[in-house]
Amino acid sequence: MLFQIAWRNVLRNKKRSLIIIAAITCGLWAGLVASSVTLGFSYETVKSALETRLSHIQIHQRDFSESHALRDTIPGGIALIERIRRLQGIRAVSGRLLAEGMASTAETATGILIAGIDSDEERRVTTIGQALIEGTYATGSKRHACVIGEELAEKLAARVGSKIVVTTQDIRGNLVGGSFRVAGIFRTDSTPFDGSNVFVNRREIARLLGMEDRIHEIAILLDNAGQLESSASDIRRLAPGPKTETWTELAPELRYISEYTEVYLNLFLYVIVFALLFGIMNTMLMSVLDRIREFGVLTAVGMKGRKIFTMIMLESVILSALGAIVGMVAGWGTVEHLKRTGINLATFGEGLRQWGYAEISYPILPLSMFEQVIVSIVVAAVIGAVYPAWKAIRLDPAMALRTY
Amino acid sequence: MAIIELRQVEKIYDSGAVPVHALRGVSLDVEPGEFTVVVGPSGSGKTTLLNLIGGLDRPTSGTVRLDGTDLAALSRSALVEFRLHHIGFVFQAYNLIPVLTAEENVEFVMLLQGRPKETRRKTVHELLKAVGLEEKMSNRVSELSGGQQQRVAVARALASGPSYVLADEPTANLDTEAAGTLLNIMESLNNERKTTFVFSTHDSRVVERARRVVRLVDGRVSEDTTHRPA
Ligand SMILES: Nc1ncnc2c1ncn2[C@@H]1O[C@H](COP(=O)(O)OP(=O)(O)O)[C@@H](O)[C@H]1O
Ligand SMILES: [Mg+2]
Repeated sequence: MLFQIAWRNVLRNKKRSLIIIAAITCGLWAGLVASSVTLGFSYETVKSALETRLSHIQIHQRDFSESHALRDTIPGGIALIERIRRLQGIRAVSGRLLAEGMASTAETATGILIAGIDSDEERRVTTIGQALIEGTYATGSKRHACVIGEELAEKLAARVGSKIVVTTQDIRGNLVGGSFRVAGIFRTDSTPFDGSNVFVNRREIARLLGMEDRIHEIAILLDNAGQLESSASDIRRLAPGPKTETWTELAPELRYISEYTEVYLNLFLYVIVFALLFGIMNTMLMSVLDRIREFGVLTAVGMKGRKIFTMIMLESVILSALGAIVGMVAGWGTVEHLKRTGINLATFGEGLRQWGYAEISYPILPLSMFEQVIVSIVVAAVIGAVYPAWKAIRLDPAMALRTY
Repeated sequence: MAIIELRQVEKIYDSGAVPVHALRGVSLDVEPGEFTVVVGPSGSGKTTLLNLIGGLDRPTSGTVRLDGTDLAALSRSALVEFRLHHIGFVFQAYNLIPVLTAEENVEFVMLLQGRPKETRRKTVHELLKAVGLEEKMSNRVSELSGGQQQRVAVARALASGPSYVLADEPTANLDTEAAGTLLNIMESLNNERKTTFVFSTHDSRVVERARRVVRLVDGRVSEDTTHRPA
């Protein structure tokens, strides 16, 4: 019965109810859309960093991260790749031989990072193969083929088929060089990455450096990103010698992006709901003050304060829930639409790619966000109604009923 | 035994700049089944008196015993409960719940009392019939005329099965015809059901029909006459 009366009271002053419902709807819609866009953007940024280079877990020789020396290769690295592959939950494993050097064409010369890879292995771990804008990724198919980023290609004025000369030092410190033909050009979300990385066939570069069958880095992709820690400890048990690090250890800044985005978004939603609380309070207060006589009648005929209090709470919760439902449906609809179209931030694209941020992202609206919105708006509705309801039950019936 | 018993009741309002002495020592007994009219000019203390009898306010001094219970012994919330079970109210105007239908307004107090659905239904029909509004049962009260609304109010006042019904100037907002109808209904309810009525008015048409007239002047009872039924 209380609910029925509360419901009719909500319908009673339609204009006032609609205004607060609209305010809640707009606030929550904007909050949900902005949050899921931000979440998608941060997810895409992390994902893109993991996919282009980092993968989930990497193994290096203990000193490598400090020294970056050619000699610090993983003992038994090639064999380790096979053994890791057989572990549970491992999707793909790739071994990389890394060297610093110079790339030059007739035009110019620039510093580069050379990654010797097995393109069949590597394409399962990273998505550079899919990020090709020209040519092929298969560095092994032709002799002395290389794959470079768009940025580097522009710097060197190179195209698919161009020859570039790669100069570096071999394991004994001798200056060595070789000429490679550009087989493919890729474009990732990070211009610095695209401007400095050259992928070549691992065996070829190993021969050039005098480092056959040696690797510096093993990159591992898991079936399930949630198994990060357990997989890392499996690998540590399997290979206690080298250093096994998860991506959160390798790139703490990315971990902060994904962790703090959520904290920040929760805060953002709470701020919106907090602001709405005052709107709710104002609406309920007006509604109560309009009905002073009626509350006088209700108390006079024997309605207990507790019931009147509950009735006003219900009115507030109904109003807020209506706004929340409409806001959530609208937010969900908008997000679904943006999921299909994607959000292209290309206008800021160049700037974003400088920092390795994703250009195109897809909003993410987790169920937990709905839960939070519902819980917090109901809490706001209850808090917002406390003062008005308290005013209503504190009324002196004789005063409330008095007609002069 | 009297169901309403006032002894040396004083009421002083001191909320304003000057304290107002609204009742200056009123003693009054109302017996079950009586049909009592409180008359007096505006400001003489009628509403104040009815508020005390209705347990809506407390006296500054003196004792108020309602249905054998001393008002002073009841807490604020006990008083709400007491009103629910012992007293029926009809106010001057606008005293129905506007979002409810006529029928729901009458049922409302019984819901508060927690009475079973069957009883509620039966009582609602009976009472709306008694006030001649069976046809308007499911109308929202805003669709009813002032006179009809007051009749619904009378039905609601009786629905809780109260010991007595209070009506503060129930005819003040009604035209002669509607006022007459309302009085007829209250009279016949008094005759047939022995419902005790106490109501206030400064309407001379009403005074003529009352069996007992209590006249208030300046917060004092200046006259208390009981006529033999004709
Ligand atoms: N809440 C109040 N505060 C101050 N004065 C009041 C209050 N209620 C009534 N009065 C005063 O008490 C006197 C009696 O009022 P009331 O009982 O309403 O008389 P009546 O109903 O006969 O017109 C009047 O002078 C009125 O102004
Ligand atoms: Mg009065």
